[in-house]
Amino acid sequence: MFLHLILSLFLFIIGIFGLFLSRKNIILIIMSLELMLLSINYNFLFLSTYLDDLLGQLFSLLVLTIGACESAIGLALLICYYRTYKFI
Amino acid sequence: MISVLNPINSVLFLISIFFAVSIVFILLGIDFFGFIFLIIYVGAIAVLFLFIVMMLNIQKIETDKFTYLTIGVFILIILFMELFLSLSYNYLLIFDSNKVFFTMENIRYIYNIFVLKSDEYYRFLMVESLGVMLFEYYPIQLMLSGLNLLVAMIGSIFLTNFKRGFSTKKQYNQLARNHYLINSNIY
Repeated sequence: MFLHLILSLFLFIIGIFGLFLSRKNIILIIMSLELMLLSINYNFLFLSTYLDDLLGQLFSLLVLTIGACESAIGLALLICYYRTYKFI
Repeated sequence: MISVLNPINSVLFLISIFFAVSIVFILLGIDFFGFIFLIIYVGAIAVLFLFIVMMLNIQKIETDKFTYLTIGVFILIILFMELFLSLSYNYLLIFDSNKVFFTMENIRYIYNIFVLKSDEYYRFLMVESLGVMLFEYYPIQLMLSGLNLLVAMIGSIFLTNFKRGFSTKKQYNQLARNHYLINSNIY
């Protein structure tokens, strides 16, 4: 049972390493943010099935919409940045 | 994913991670969220990342990794200590199941659904009770997430619209005579 929690912890750690080690590239930062949101969703969904509580699945659904909004806004800002500075 | 030099390989590794996690969700018994993750993440977000990487010619990632390693390791040590302290108390074993309101049996009791026909019907009942819970008990959160999606859509259209949207073009720099001197901080 704790194997799932450890797997989500490792996904979160990979996301944090991507945030801290790749300051040069902005698209990798947005991708590692997505990975961290995925690990949070993994935690919520696994604990909601383990405890038989349906509230975690609803919260995972809300977090998923927030993640989609965040990636869309980030990529639009990336396109604006590319249009002014001509490189990334 | 983070140690690859080419960003396209990084996006492909991200797609593989999403695929594997959605397969784990399906094996755990939450089919709905497995397919939702497969559709939204792999079908929309990862393809959006791939499209951005292919459209803008991004240079390869520079391997300058040892400058920020100390801050990252420090924050990771703090996170590890917090997580092991919270896991060592073992909250999950003394969890009181009487205090949970939204269990399946409670929802089935509220909406008078007593007949449990088969396994497939049980899975459909899970999705149905999720929808009932979202529309009956948490309508404000549903409206706020819809508003958030609307704001994201309008904002991204406004940012990437070339003619009538937000433009980074400065009119003074184009009309000025010595614009190479003015723009010298940009280029």
